[in-house]
Amino acid sequence: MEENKHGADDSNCRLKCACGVVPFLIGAAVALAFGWWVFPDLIFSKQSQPFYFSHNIHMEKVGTVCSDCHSFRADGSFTGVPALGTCAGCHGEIQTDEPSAASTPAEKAAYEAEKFFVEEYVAKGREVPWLRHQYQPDNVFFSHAAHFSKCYSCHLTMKGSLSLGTPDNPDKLCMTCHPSLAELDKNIPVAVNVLTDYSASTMKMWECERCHALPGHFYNDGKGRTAANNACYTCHK
Amino acid sequence: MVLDRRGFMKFVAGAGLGVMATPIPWKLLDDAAIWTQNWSWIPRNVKGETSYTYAVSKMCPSCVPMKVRMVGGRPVRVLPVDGHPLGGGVSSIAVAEVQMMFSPGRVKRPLYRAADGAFRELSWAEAVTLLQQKLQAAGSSTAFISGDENGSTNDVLSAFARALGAGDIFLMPSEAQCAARAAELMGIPAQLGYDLENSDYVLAIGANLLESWGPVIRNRRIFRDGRPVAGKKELPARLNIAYAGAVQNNTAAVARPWLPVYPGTEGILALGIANMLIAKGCSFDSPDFSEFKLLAAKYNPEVTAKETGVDLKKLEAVVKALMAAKAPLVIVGSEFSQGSGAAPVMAGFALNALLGNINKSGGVCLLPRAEAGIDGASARDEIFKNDLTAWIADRKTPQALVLHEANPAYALPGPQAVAAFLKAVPFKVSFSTYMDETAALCDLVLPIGMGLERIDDVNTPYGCGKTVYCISAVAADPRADVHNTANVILHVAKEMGKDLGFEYYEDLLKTKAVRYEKCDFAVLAAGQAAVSEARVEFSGFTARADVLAKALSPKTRGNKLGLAPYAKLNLGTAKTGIPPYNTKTLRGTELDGKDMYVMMNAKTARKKGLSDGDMVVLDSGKQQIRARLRVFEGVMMDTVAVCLGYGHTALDEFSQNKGANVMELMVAVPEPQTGLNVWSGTGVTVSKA
Repeated sequence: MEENKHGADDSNCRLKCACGVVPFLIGAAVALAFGWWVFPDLIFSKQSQPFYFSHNIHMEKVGTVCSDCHSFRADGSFTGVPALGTCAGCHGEIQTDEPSAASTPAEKAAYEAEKFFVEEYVAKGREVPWLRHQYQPDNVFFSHAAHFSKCYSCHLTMKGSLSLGTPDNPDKLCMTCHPSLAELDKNIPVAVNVLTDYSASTMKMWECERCHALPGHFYNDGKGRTAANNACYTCHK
Repeated sequence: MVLDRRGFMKFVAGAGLGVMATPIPWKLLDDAAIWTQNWSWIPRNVKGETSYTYAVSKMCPSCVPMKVRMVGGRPVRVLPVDGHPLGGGVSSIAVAEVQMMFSPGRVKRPLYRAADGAFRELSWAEAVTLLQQKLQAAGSSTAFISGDENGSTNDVLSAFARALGAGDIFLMPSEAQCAARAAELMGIPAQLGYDLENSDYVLAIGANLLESWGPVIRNRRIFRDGRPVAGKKELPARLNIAYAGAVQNNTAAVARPWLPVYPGTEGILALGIANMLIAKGCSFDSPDFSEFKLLAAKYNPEVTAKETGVDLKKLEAVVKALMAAKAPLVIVGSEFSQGSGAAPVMAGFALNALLGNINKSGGVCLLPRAEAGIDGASARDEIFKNDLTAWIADRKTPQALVLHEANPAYALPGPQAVAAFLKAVPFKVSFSTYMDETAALCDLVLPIGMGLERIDDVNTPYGCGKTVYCISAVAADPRADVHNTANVILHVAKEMGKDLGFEYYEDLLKTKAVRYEKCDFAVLAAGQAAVSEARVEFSGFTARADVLAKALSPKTRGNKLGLAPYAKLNLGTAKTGIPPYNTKTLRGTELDGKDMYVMMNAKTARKKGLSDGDMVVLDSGKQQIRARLRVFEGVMMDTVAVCLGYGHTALDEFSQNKGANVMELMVAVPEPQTGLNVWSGTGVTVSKA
């Protein structure tokens, strides 16, 4: 009896202790759930592009390549998002066939989007206010030309994971920083930080330093230049 | 289970620990740091499509062509234009033009002086009506001063002056005026040009080729191309420059050799060199060559060395190099691009004639004179015959005075006397981009666009080796309520019943553009220059030894030091003041707080009992200025060097009350026989303050 009594006390004690931990665990679980699932939606607003645009249609059906729209100008600067004039070169008039009853929802959406673009922007000569997923902050100077020529000059001839594409297919170099949009058939909402106004895709400094801070990049090519200078003034003018 | 206080505390503790394992604290910390970069008062970049447009600087005296980078239709940066006859780089004034659009010193809308003496705003319609009434009342007693010697606005002003029956139209003093007067006296119906591009040896006497003489950026490009380098190794030079002047300026710094001479003795040095060349058998075809030879003979090497302070051995080496060069060229000018008179240029031309390089490759070119584009208007060389300083000294006060981009109350010798003259004019109107010293004295101030904001032209700046005509297109939307001077004058003239033949300035420029082969207005407006190699035949030249004998006679300096003003592009012009963009280029040895530095060498300083850092007073006998002394061995003996561009009392906070205006010390005196006033030989006493 004595033994049983002691055994019941131990069991009650363990239960009490276990119950005592539960609020702590619940608190931790709630915080984790809030922090990982709810907080990101609170800190980033989701903004929509002015109208539907499909990279996939342009690349798969029309046969354009990235550089047809995202190219370097003669002076070496990068066009980024093409201006209206570039798009109007093809979209002076509606190119898509008018959808029929048999058309898929995707085909109808593509037609409506192009019609809206031609009527609202091309015809009126208005630039499209595209929202940018990746825009470097004002305090960062970034040159696509420098990265394209300098990174490419070495990584083109490298093998394996260090290879960043081939002369015929330089996309891998672009994909080092940008997500591949070639297969994308829909607009991705632009996530904008409500505190900073930066998009969620804005590269952080540590991401730049994945290359810039690599010791292997600090060799001297004999002309007083380094491959990826990590000095402050390289990016912050 | 009941949540008691202990349980709640455990919940909070668990939540606290859990939060630390989420992005919340770290993300918020990071975002808070980034948030501080985006406060509303921190300027933001304006994003947009990059494009380029072309213009020619109307602010920089070197008329540098500019490739303007636009982002979203907004100018952001000025870049050089390669392959342009005036280009090859950008000047420190041109590069600041984008920023100067936003200068706090800009006149933003028309202003008139009210009865209480303060400026009041008025509309353009009211301003034009007021202008018309005043000019109508003044009639032939209207005078015009232009500060833009290369633009066709002068055609409009001149034609309007002629229509009013007024003969008084002036350009601000410059090297071009001295050269035009020299050419006229020598019987040469041409604009003097200098084929630096094809010369292999240039002797610049006073002419600060790489900072203030002629189209400086073009000169720098020619020097750069003529002195090629591979890495740090110099390749064989195609061009050598020798420089004679009182101050080791940017030209002297790269010259081989630099010949230090007393300021204001450039003409005498030229005659001394002429004597040495004649002794070596050089001559030229002129009815008065024998008189010239006799005059030059007075300046034998010893006399030349005594009067100019030049080192004879170095001078003989320079003369030897001139004789040995395939395409030698002598350029005589002023170290501060004004006030040296016509005689030194004439002596320089005679030197070139002795070297046989007139109208030859690499020599002096006789370019067709710039013609006016309006019937009845005076050509540029005709306007140059009127000497502004002499006219002001005569104090024939007009009833009305129209100023276009001119700041005589700052830039002429004796600014205080000029200001007194201006105050005596009953009605004066300034067409100006900035509220400069002259505009601040005017009764009506009308804002005009700066170079990037208006259409204008540039016609063969002095110093070019060929005829060059450029259109400067509108590159940017104006940042103020501006109108073009010429358009306002054309409108007022029409309202007064004096039709000048054009309704808009652009129409005038279009008629000028078609004068050039293979060029039209659109091509020129897109950034190209019309170039003509046409030359005026070299005949009828007279050296005018009689003029030279009187104008270049040695002067006694007494116990005064020679005043050697020098110009630096980064300090802007009288029209612009110091560009805010360039204030960081002012060294601590040039400006310390509000005190500017003047320079003299150690020996001269010891003679005067002065030492480095002393506050000194420079006294011309009429005016004084205060400055701090810097001992610098790059200054000629018995000479004090003073930089132009300081001492503004108007414009903006970046220019005001910094140093003193050296023009206060300048004393303009008539140059015998030439009809011009000179002020390059001013002497001053220097004493400790």
